[in-house]
Amino acid sequence: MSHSQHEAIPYTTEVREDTGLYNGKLGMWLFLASEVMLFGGLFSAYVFLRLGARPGEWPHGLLNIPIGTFNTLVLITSSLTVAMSWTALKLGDFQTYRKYQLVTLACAVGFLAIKSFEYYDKFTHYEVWLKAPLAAGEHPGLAGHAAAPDAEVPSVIGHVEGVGPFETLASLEEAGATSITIHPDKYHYRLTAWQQAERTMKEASMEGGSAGAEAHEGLTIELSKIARLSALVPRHSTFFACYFTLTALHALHVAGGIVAFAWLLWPGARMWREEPERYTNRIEVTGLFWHFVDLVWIFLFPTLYLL
Amino acid sequence: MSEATSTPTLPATHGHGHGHADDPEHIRQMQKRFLIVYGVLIVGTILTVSMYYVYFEEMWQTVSVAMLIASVKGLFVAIVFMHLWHDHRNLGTILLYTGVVAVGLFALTIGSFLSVVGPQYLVR
Amino acid sequence: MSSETHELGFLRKYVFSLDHKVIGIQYGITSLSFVFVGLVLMMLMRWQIANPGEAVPIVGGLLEGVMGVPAAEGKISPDLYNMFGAMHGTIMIFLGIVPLVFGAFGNYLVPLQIGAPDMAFPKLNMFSYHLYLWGGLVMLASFLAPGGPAQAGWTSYPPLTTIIPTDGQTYWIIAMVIIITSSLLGSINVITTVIQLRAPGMTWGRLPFFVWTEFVTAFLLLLSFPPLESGAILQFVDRIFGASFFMPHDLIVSGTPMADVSGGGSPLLWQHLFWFLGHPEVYVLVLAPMGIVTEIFANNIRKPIWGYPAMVGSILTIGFLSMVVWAHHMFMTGMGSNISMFFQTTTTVISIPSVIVMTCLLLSLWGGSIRFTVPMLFAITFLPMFGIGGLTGIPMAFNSTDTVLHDSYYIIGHFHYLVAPGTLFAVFGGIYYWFPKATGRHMSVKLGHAHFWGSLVCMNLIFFPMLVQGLAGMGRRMSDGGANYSLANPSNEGVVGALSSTIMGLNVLIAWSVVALALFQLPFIFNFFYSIVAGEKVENDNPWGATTLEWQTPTPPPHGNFAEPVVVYRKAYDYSLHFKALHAQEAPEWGSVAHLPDFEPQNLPVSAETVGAPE
Ligand code: HEM
Ligand SMILES: [Cu+2]
Repeated sequence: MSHSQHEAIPYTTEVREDTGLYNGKLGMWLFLASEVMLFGGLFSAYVFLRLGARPGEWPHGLLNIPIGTFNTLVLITSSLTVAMSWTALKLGDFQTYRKYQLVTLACAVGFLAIKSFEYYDKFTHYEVWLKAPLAAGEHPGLAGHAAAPDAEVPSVIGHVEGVGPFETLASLEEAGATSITIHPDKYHYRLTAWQQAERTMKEASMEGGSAGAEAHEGLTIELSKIARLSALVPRHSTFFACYFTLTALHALHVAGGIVAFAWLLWPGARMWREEPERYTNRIEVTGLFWHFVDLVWIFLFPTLYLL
Repeated sequence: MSEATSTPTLPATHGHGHGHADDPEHIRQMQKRFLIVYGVLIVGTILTVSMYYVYFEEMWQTVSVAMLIASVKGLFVAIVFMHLWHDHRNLGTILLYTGVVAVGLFALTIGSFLSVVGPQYLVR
Repeated sequence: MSSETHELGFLRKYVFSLDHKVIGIQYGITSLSFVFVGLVLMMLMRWQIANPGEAVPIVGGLLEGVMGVPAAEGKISPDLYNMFGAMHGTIMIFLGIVPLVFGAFGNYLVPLQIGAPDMAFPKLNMFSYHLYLWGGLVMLASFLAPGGPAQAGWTSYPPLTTIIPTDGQTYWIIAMVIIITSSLLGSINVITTVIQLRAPGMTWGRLPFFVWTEFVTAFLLLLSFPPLESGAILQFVDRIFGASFFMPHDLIVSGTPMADVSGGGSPLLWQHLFWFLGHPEVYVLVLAPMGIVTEIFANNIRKPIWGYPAMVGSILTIGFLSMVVWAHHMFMTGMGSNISMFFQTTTTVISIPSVIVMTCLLLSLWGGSIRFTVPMLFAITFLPMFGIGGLTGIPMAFNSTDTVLHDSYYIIGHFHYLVAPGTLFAVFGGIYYWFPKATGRHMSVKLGHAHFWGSLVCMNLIFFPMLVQGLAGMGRRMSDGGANYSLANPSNEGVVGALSSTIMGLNVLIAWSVVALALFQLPFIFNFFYSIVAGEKVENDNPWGATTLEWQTPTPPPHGNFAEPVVVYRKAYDYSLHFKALHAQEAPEWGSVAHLPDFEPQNLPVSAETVGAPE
């Protein structure tokens, strides 16, 4: 067995008998331990803020669950292919390994692509807080914004006509706009999930469920009446701040994994011919990282999308 | 967490801390296990999502169920995909310790917060 | 003497070196330079406190040139004072002491002491050093940022940090993330090295105590730094993307409600994330120095350290407990009585293992034949100084007493006793002790004595008055040194508790002692550089007659460290074998053991004659 540079350092490839590990594997697990603490800190922060939120102010139900579910499956699949590719190498079958890893890379890139699509949707989805609340009865589109038919609506959430991403009240004013036209969402998150579900069921039972389906015209609001305007970005609320920070950090990890796998698959693959065992170990270790990224998502998905 | 790797092994033949890990029979078995876990994870995902549409009286019940499913999925990933099961006890110790510290961070932070304000709102 | 097999270019040899010893020295020089920067900032602050409102002599013009408006007319404005205070703390702790005790000493010594050829991941090692360097440079660059550097203390409490409009705080966050990453990689390296690369025979019970301390330190860094990193990320998002992780609802700044901020965050959240690192961090500052002191002790008392297992058990306990005491820094924020009781209990309990370590060292002196070398002077002084620091911590461990002491000069006195005449003295001792191994030359003893005695006196003249001032009610972080709350301020006439002129006068004493302390560092700096080129050459590879493996190498150790493979046969401190043998005899007879050696190194097989002696 030839060791190119690390001649002097023992256990780079072979296992140390009393610890049962080679260096790289231990190093990776230690790194993952620190990652557990990193995400542990963020997760604690999330729960801390969630518990401290004032009633009715924690956004929920605004993320796209079908897409999130699909992305979860994509990531799980990539985890499987990574595991399988490693076993393929253990069996000495480089070609199969290659096929599996191509699937992994496809999944990983797909995950990021889907994620950016989701992100962009949020960047153009707005909430508008009004200086004086509107009456729910005033506009047909606002029925889903108030818990009771005669309740007041302090803010409206929806897509704004002709407005791109990331605008704020100040930036709109600067651009010379005097009013906006917003198409309110069916429901506002001040309604609990159960209230939303109840209404949806009621509508469905009423004559073919047409009640919620009719298209409303946009609601035009003058800028002078708006207290605050924000897309669903970190500045919108602590929920979206958490959502973007956590998922972006996770996405960075995915991107890191892509770079590592791609490197090992192409330029780094030379090592397979010279030191197959060491190469297999590298896949194992990178795989550990990848499974961890998957594991984080397994917790992030229900926490952010479903709870 | 693991069976002790007391059986001495020849340095040249093994790639990781398990005596029989390299024989093809064992590896094929592993592959089978990976596929089973894949199935479990898919079912788990479907379960998680369907929980969203189930009504629980209390928010903490929803949270517990969701976290329980996630934890089971996570355990499968860690134990089988990351083959912790086959690894040396040392790793288990380090990870267990990390887990304890992480839980300490979480519980004490949230605990000191709740000890003052109490949960104001826990309904989705 | 170097037995480099192939010639490397200058860059590969000194800048991008993969050799743990070179990297250790890189860490050492860089971190000592940062300590120097921190020292200069401190001198400026202390001068300002003693002479509030006056222009700084000599360097006032330079200050104004570099810092601009905050240093107008060469005076240290309150803003500038805040900047210097924040940067002094940050630089000393994160860029000075931690890299010094962990990066420098850890890198240089751990592989040598366990008989390894290098660290487990040399490239990662080089990478962590460079991350540290660049993180530090970003931190320094923040002095030049428009508006100046961070100014909200080394603890960077929001919402203050978020609403400060200048960019310094953003530099701080970015620099911290880089430095944290560097520390994480470093700790992974150290843990892997200790677990995997111990030489054959180097069992856990035979590890030199210093290696144990670095091992525990590495775990502290590994597990407690990431939550601060997450906090830094959140603060970054707050500052750059306008999020409200740490911004409460309805925050009003200078009478104006914050615009376009969602609110809903919590400043307390930051404090939890910060102190979850913050407390373990203080043990990072002090564990490795305990290890250094132990090594110097064993060598200079010429007998095994008393209670090695208890010491190892103690630092492992510290390692765990220090993760669950952090809210003692937050008593004043208010918390339920049960949680508060928990943190008070763990805080008091954690002082027990520290005391055990100190006690073992103290008892080790018993019956030793102490050699008062320069390293030993520093090491032995560590005990009482650390004692003062540790004991002053106890009153703050209780919620009720801490209410009075919190944010006063008392706590400044408390932790400076631990880090200055504690940690720094251990570090100085370590430098004097291992200098001959790293360079092949001794440092001057005369200059060493001047350095030691001068520093000892000055440090106490600086920090003891702070304890007194704190008890008299002087608050920390006041740019006028408390003048506003003193009797010198006419509006305080007859106010009970106003600071007396004696208490205020201590500020002047401290300022002059600071100047003297700085002067007494000159012999050290001179000694250090002079001895590298012209110090007295070492007589052999093991000039102190030490047992541990780093002394059983060529001097200085070549790439790969050991001339031949190492096997370890015995515990770390096999000194005074004649006494050991004597004790083992039923009828002690000196004549039969007098020829036995004073010490035997760890890699020497146990001989028939000494094998009977109890380990
Ligand atoms: C031996 C047992 C120790 C106890 C019981 C103790 C207790 C405390 C307490 C309760 C505080 C918070 C005071 C307050 O903010 O009101 C504190 C602050 C501090 N301690 Fe200790 N401590 C101990 C050891 C150490 C050690 C070994 C170090 C390390 C060098 C250290 C460094 C610090 C620092 C830097 C602070 C101030 C942080 C700040 O607010 O800027 N302490 N200590
Ligand atoms: Cu503390």
